[in-house]
Amino acid sequence: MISPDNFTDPFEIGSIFAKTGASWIQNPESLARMLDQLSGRIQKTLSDNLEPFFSKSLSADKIPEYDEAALLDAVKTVSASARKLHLIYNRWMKEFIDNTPDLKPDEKERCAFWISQLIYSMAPSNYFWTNPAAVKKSIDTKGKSLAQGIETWIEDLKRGDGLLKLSDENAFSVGKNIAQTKGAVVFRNELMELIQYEPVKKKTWAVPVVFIQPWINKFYIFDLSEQNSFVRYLLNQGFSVFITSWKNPGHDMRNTTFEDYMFKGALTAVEVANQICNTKKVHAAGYCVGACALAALMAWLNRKYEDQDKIPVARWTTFAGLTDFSRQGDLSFFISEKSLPLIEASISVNGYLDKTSISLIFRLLQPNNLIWRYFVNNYLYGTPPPKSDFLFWNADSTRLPEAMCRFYLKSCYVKNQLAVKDSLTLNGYPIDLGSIKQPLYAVGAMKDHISPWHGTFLSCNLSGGPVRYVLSNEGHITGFVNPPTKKAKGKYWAGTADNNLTGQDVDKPPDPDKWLSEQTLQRGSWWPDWVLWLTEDNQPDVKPPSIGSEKYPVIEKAPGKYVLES
Amino acid sequence: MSDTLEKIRDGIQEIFPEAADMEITNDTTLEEIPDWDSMSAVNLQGYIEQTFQVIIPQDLLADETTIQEVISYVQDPEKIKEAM
Repeated sequence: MISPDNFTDPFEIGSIFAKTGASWIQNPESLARMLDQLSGRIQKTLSDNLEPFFSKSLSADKIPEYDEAALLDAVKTVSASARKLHLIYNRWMKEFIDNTPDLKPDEKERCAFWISQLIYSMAPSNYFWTNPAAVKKSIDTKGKSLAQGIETWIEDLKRGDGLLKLSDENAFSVGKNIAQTKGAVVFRNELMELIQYEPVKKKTWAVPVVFIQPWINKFYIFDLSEQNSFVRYLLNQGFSVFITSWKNPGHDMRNTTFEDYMFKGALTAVEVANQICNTKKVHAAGYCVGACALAALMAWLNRKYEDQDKIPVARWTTFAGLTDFSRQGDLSFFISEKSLPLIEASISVNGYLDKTSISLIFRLLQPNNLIWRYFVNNYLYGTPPPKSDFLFWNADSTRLPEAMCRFYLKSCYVKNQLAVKDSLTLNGYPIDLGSIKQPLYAVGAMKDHISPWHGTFLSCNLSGGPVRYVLSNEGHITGFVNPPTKKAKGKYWAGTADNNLTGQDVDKPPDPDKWLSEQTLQRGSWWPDWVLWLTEDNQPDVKPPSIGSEKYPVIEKAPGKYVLES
Repeated sequence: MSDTLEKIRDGIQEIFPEAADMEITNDTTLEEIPDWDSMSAVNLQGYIEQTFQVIIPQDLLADETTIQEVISYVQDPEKIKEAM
């Protein structure tokens, strides 16, 4: 039932703080002990760090003349102490929350998450007089750096989206210096463009790879610069490669559903690739929400066709794929039964979840890296944001159509229906992930805040076919954009993960940590491991397919027009 | 302490508030920095490029990279080419 709380405290910030406070008030002796600890630590730090400073500067019986070096020296001393005090407070706050009586583990996590937003914002480097580099820049430029910072701040305010610039937007142009691998749009409908890339080898593997990209960002995360392009790597390994590029929805697409993404998107991409390559099956690979759609599609295909030959996918792969949302990570602080009415009311206004909200949520998941670092750089230093292709892509976000968004948040995030056999019916067939028989290669990332690896591990175990699970030690993006360069120092673990093959009791949920403890750490990129898996039943030395076909002629050069829509 | 090491240390303490009381030496590896991850590597990369005016690929800022290695790349960009 919807209550006023759904709108006044949708993310349960006030209620969790109130509950934490009330819990401590019930335990005054423990509270006094905690406060005493904090007080002692602060006093020690102050006496260790600030005494020399005060004794030097306050004992003078005359006012010193203005001296830049002395000013900087004082700023450095005070800043160093401020950083240490901030750290003490930060650590104490974590202990305080962790020791709160009567708070459940998930409530502690929620409280810690929202408190950390406040603590990160209070970092001394975010304030001019406790950031020596900002003060020095201001002195060196005779105040121009600060003036530039204020100008940038006013520009940001005028733009009105409330988001800091993360990357020098003038440094990149989609199709020119990023997303520049040669290819063509060979199919377009109202939802998706399908790009086919030009082969670089004279002979290719028979079964093509079709990437089902997430539609929460643009597709070209797999085709940034030449050296870290996943697409180019696969082309160099002799694969025919296709990728989906989604239309950025406006209010006219408010009725576009999750099923549309499955059928007009993923399944159509697979069928077009099969037609062009003259194959019966492809290797399909979905990333993030694309993986979720692909998993649902695989279950649907296995339910619809008893004859396995009719299923147009030979093997499937998920990158950061969640289908079991019981472990959804930090996004659960934003998406819950409590917040859903507000989100639904918000998206119903324009018919989409706007990209500013999506960007803001993703930035709040990593405030230090995606907010405060750029606050300091852009405003306190007055310098332009870096020329980073990765950050440029990160800021190039999209909208989500209302119907799809409602379904995804409610059925997947809140009710976790995809994980329950036959709980959902999509396009006429109940969805049972256990019915999927095709081999699955699932990749999770240890530092992924958006699709936690424990969740991706549980998800891959829902599939009924053989599973190879790979865990990268990186994050939601770099865990997957993980090129095998000469200096690549990545790490990963890989091994069989399905219950039937590991001998684990199939009636018990799998234990990700037990699986990890049984694997051997491998160094480098996991991409070569995936290529080995993709080529197990694949026929080599096939003549590369033409770009497009009579049925699906080339429409225009890659990267097409949908990716350019803002 | 060398000027380069001091600037790198300042950058790390600015980007990583939890490194405020950490002793950063030439032998410190990047993964020893509290909250070190791939996203913060992008930020350290940006800091180094802006502070020292060198283009340093992210591959070279990996978990096991030492501060001494970062200093050598900054002081002699030819070493970046050799490392790649």
